[in-house]
Amino acid sequence: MGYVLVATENELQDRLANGGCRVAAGMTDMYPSGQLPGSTESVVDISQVSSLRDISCTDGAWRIGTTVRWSDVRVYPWPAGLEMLAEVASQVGAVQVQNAATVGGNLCNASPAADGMPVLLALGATVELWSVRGVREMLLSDFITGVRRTALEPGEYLRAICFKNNEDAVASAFCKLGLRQYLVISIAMAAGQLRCDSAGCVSGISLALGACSPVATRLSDIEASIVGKPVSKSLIDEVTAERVASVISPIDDVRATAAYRRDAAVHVLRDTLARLVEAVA
Amino acid sequence: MKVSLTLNGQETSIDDLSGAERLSSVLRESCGARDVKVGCEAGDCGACTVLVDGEAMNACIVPVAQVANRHVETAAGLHRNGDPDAVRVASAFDAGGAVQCGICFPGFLTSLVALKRQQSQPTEAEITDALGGVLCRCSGYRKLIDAAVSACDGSVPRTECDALAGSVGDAVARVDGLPRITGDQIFGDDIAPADALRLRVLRSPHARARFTIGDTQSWVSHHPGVELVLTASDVPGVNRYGVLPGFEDQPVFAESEARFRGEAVAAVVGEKAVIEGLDLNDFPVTWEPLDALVDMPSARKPSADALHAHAAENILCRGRVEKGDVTSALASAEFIKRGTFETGFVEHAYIEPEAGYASFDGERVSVFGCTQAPVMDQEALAGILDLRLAQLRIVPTAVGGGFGSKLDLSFQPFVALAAMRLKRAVRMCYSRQESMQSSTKRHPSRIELSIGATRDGYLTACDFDGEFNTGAYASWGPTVANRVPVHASGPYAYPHYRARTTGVYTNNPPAGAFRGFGVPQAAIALELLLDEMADELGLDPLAFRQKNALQNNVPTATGQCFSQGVGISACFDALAPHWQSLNAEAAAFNNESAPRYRRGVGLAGGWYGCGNTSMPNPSTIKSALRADGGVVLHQGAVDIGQGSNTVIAQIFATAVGCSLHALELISADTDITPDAGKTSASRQTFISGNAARLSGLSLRRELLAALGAPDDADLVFDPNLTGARLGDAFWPFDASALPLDNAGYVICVEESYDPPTAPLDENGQGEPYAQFGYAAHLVMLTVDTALGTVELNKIVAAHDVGKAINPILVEGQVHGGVAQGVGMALMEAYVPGQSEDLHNYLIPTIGDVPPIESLIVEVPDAHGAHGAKGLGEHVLIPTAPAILNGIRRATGARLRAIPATPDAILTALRGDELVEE
Ligand SMILES: Cc1cc2nc3c(=O)[nH]c(=O)nc-3n(C[C@H](O)[C@H](O)[C@H](O)COP(=O)(O)OP(=O)(O)OC[C@H]3O[C@@H](n4cnc5c(N)ncnc54)[C@H](O)[C@@H]3O)c2cc1C
Ligand code: FES
Ligand code: FES
Repeated sequence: MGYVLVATENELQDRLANGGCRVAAGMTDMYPSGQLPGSTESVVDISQVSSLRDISCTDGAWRIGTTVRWSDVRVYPWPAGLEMLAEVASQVGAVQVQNAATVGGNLCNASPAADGMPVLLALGATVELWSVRGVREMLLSDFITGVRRTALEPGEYLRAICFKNNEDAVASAFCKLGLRQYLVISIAMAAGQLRCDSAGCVSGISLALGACSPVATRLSDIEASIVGKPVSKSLIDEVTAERVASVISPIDDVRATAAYRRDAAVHVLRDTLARLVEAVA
Repeated sequence: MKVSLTLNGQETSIDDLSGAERLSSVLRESCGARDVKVGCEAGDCGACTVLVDGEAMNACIVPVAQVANRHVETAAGLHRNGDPDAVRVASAFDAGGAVQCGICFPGFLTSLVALKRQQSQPTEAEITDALGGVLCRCSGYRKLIDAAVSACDGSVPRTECDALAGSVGDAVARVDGLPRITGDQIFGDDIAPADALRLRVLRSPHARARFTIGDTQSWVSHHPGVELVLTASDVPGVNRYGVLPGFEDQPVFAESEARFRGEAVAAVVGEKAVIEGLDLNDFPVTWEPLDALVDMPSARKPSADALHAHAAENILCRGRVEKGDVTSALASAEFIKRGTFETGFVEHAYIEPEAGYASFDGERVSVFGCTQAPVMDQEALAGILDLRLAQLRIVPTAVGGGFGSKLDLSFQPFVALAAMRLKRAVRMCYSRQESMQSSTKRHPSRIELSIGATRDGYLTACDFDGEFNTGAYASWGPTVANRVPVHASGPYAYPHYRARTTGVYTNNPPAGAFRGFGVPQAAIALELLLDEMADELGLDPLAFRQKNALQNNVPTATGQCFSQGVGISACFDALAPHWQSLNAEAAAFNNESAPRYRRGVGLAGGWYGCGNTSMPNPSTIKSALRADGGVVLHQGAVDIGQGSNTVIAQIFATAVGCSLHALELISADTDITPDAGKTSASRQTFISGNAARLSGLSLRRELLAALGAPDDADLVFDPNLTGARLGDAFWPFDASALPLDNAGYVICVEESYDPPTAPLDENGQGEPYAQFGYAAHLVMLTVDTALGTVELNKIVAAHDVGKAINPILVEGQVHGGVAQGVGMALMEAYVPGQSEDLHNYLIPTIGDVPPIESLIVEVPDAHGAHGAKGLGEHVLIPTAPAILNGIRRATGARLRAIPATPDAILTALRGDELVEE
């Protein structure tokens, strides 16, 4: 048992290759949940590894290093279609939390209420994982396998989150429903990105919902029903209670009842879609 | 490992670290930076905010290794080093009356400095975003937002407030504001000597369980560094305490059965590293969980086990006030409204957990830490430890929020007992979880209420029946049972009245005192029914309340007739223009907006009797003159953030005839300040204020006599006493003519005040309080009827305070009470095992409290110093019912329980729940 702060990815990889230790980043999930670093298992703190802390874009392919903090995401000048990244970043906890908490930690923690999940799902993100066995890439939707469960194997770490921003992306939005203004875990949250063709019709749309099922989900039926239609307010009618209910499985918890979540999910999604449509109009 | 960093500009290095230690703990314990306050150790409160390379971080969740070779700045460090932003912001907070207890302010100060460095002219929205990570339970945030805005645009109205002498009525800054803002103020966990041992308490994980403790000696021998284990058998005196005579039922350590989740069963003591690193899971205790009586219905079942042998049917006590003939008055009433209401546990959620330390010199035990009631602590500890009162000294530190819960013992018996056994200083600080599990709560209630009226809107009868869940132990349950029947009428007149209360034991944390002793719960029931009644009778809700409001010479529910000082009508009058304009604004909004968003205005009134109910309740204040002519005020009333240090000193200074700034203030210490009673029941301004006035007058008289000057001469201070003057005549002060006492004083006086009350008869009739204070609130809000969420737009709060001794502190109290009312109405629900931290137990953040307009009404009271009335509890009482009424006026949703979460509001909107009346 122990705690070590590594400065480079090489050092991290050596530690992981030797096995038996766990990666820690901003520790905003680990400390509060009682996983005091070093108390139960060896911990490698990667928060200061600079090669993991870049946001970059080459030929429309975006890459967010795992230890990019939410405050970095909050102030990044995102282009049209990715504004929701800054939006979600500004709603993770509050400033102090954003200055420590990382994007990678948010995903690896695999909480159903992780605010980053629906946004990155809506972007069709993939994750890049490293272990001594090599580098692998997989869809984010495959990476998170359940409540607090990921596809990470022993000795493996998340390196980066990657996605493409389509050229026709015109708007994106994130809507969070919580019981108070700051420092609040979502009861439900939705994210969406709208793409348009030159005729003003929907060339593509992605919608995702969080905190209403063990893992955040895309709403593919609704997406399919919207594509090809002209952008207008009537698109919102495609978000029906039945279509939403068919993909979510909310639970009762301290924040809300399952029944309430079922209702709220529909409204949060409609609000997200309404904002996308408004942004284009 | 060794970590080097630059702390407040100084190179610092700390050895022997694993690197994983919390930065907050290293800064506080190894670097002496006790200005870094700790409220939760989980990132939830922001009190511990420091700047790391200029960025605001929660030091409690940063491993110290992460800051190696970086710059760390803390609140006091920034201020001490003259950082221009920190100095300007602190000064604005101080002058603007933003701070109350101050435990959270280092977090606000550092967060705002971080913002200012990034952006020299931030907007108000950017300011609230920057401060959104810091929770404050006292202030209601509004004054700190205003002060922050003024600090950022450079206009600090400092000079105005500094020019004031601090007489009664002056809006002076607090006498102790600045250290509370910078973190220099010493709170419960900031005072222990470096070599103090640590104590940790082992608590029951079950709501109810029998337990046996095994071989602790062998456990100790396997845990080197553990110096002592304490259990019930180690208590030398009586292992029972309570806050009310005759109701001492709570053990320091449970004896064989734990009665609530979080009850203490043992304590371990040793060096810091050992105790902090212990895994208490291998402590030799075996649990046999039993069926817990989790709520009042299960505790009242005839088949239920008794929690305590002395309490049949699990009934703690009952209360009753009755006049006239309610049954027949209701039977013949032209109009009746009935309702059943439920409220749950509400947590005080002060940001400072219970903390302190004790030492023992072989003869006397001294306890330093946060408390609202030093003399009660002294008396209770004497019984527990089997000591004489004189063998106990209680020295309160600053209190980082109390709101009633720090009236009860918490850490004190543990550290006192351990210090006696080990003859060493022993220290403890509750974790957030143990604070929430084991401290007292607001009583959950179930209330049945019927009100009768005439068709033209005169109230004829009120029948109130309330059950209050006192949890596993009595605490202030009997006070709740007695206060509620006196207050359940609200500030209204009825010819026929009956109010009955029952306190019920359950397997829950003890419910105790929390701003209002059950009255806020009763006010919800009454004010909701009154509002609905007004609508059904076709009357304006404000006019309806006015019509029935108590007046001078109209008897209260207990038959008490005040010939003066009844101020509820004046409060409603003050609200009237706002009621008109806000209703018009809401109507216009509803016309223009999508039907999804509905706006409404809610109203509620309230009253509260100041001081103990029909019981003696004296305060004594000592004052003196030093040989150098300096005036000293010995003030035993504990300032829990509400500002009594300032208010009592203002009253005293005015009586003496000197400036507030000339006083030497000596705060509570049972060795040197006489008993000024507990800080509760809105009694300090009223009762200790009166004692301070008498003490000041008496000192003035004695000074004039010693100077040989006539009674109508003026004392002259510069800033110490130089003499007395009348016209051209001057009598110089010459200390050598006067004998010097042991304390270094040449003159010393002590005066007491006890408010006149009379016992209640068997029907609860009599004169329970010498004065009441009155309040009425208006709330304008908007409901999103799709999601059930509520946006508060504005609150107008009218308070009859008799005389505002310090208007800025009055407003601060109002804002803080309103914010707690907002939390109670909309989001707060303590559920053992589920919301035992500030992550899941939500209190309002800086974004949840709307602008508050505070209307100070002054209907003087003959008994109050300068006419002043108490205010501490009044501020919270009308807020929650006003919000619930606003929700109904906006949407029609009739709520019968709190909190009104989005979930509950949607259910009420559908009306599936309300099949009654
Ligand atoms: C007060 C407070 C408020 C919060 N509010 C929100 C909120 O509003 N919304 C929200 O979504 N979350 C919130 N959180 C949770 C948390 O801040 C976020 O989930 C955050 O993004 C986690 O990042 P981290 O770097 O701190 O993770 P850490 O705590 O360091 O790690 C979390 C988990 O991920 C693993 N891990 C981290 N990085 C890697 C990696 N590269 N490879 C493999 N495993 C890894 C760790 O082993 C651990 O199991 C809040 C937390 C606090 C304390
Ligand atoms: S003590 Fe650090 S956030 Fe509460
Ligand atoms: S002043 Fe903020 S918690 Fe007391």
